[in-house]
Amino acid sequence: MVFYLREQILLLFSRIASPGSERETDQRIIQEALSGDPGFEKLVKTYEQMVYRVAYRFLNNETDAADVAQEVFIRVHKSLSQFRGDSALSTWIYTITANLSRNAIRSKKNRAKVQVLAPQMGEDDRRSFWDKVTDKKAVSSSRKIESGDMREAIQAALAELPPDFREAVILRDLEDLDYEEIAKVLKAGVGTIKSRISRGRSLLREQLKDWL
Amino acid sequence: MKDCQKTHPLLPLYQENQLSAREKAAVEKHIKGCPDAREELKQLERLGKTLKSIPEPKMPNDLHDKIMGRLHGKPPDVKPFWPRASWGLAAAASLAFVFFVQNSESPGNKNFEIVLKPTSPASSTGVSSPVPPELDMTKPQTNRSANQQIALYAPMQEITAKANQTQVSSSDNAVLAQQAVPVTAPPVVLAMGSIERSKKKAMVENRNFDANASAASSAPPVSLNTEQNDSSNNPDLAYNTRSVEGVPPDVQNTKPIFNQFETIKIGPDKYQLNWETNLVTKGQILILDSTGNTLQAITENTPFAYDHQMMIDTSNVNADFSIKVLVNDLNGNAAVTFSNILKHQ
Repeated sequence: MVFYLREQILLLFSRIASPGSERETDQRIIQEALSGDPGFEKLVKTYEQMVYRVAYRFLNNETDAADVAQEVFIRVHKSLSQFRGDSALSTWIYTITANLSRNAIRSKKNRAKVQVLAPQMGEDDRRSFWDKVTDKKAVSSSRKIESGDMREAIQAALAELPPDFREAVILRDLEDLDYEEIAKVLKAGVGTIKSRISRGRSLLREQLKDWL
Repeated sequence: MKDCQKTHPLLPLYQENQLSAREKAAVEKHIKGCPDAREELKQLERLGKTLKSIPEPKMPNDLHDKIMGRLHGKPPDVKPFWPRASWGLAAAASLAFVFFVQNSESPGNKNFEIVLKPTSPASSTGVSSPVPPELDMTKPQTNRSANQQIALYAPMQEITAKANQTQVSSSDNAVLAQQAVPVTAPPVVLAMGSIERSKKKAMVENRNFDANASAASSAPPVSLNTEQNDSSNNPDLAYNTRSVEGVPPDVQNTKPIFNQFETIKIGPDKYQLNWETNLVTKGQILILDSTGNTLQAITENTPFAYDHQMMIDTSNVNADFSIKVLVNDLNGNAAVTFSNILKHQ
């Protein structure tokens, strides 16, 4: 436990310290992980909470987040020797987590979807997502607001954001990554990330303005 | 007003000092004269604080052990979608079978039917079946007539695993598709009874995947618009250039096949289609008339996936019809399957 806390503190310091020291910390963790089991378990302990937290926030589901977390470390284990250090180790792991979470969302979405052919498509179905998301009656976050549970309302409002916006807002406002890191993780330009964060926040503010 | 529309979208970035000097000056000028902008900015600041105050989710206690177990080769806790659904249907079919045996002399209750069509030997069409005849539960095992209604029962998983699947590549699409036409041959009733699904009585028609059924049919030959099967001619199905992270390359090189396909009647003119493929695929549904012409087509507008579900309304179809499902994997390889002829009501 003491060792785990020490690793967490080291990770925290590595993020606020100079990039040089962050690289050194990464190098040490990577070398130990590549050397065998105790080293890799140390890497797992260092990043598992971060991976689970991000996956949970992306997926909004404990079981799916736990599944993704397992897959992330399988992927890290397979690919760590090929990690070139172009970015921080944490950024690389964030990237894997984001990719696998997206895959999980895709898979889950297709399992849950129901499509109706055009003749049965009502007026409500033809409206764009944007119309719906600003329609208080159409979204569950508003119902949560009416029920008075702000935390749930925030989670619901986040869950209802388009995935691109949600990912960017989560990485910026909840994970506290800077714009360049987010751009690397989501494989998009910094300008695109700024736009997604801006629009995501605007939608969230619109949804939650009764609370704000 | 026009200035508000232009400036307010910049407020989230202004809040984080992410604007250029020019944009920042414009926003500050606007804020001074716009109470709505000031209020919005305050709300955004409160939103930022609120988001940061969201507590961190607690990691499950056993997650670390699960991760380490996986790293040491322990298989994941598999929670497949279809087996659950299949066993549910299998249990229902089992109950239905018991009901049927008890009531085989009084075929009055026809709320629920699982129908498997008789199939001809593979040799008659020259298309080899991947399933030995003795294992193929979709084929009649004896010379029983349909009227005898002696039921064969196998769990749905077995049926689907052993079913003769229609697997096509873009090059042989046309040949197989011609052979895969649904027919009106007398069905072998597998089980009959009543079942409640989603609080509604529904007729479940489980279909086989046999591409050879048409050879045994006395129905007139049916021509298909085989262009629909060629992904190179169909821009909606040209996925060849796509790739998905997380899908191993060796899996991507495999041809798609249907693990499961079923049509469930859920109401007048309404059907739910469920299918599962061995690879991530995207599908197209074609409603065919009795001559094989496409009456209506709909392409899945969702990402590539293993499990698919689609509900269709056929109230605008004024004749008997069948449903064709054409799927393409990420490499553009295609597979196709058909429902039985569905009666117009």
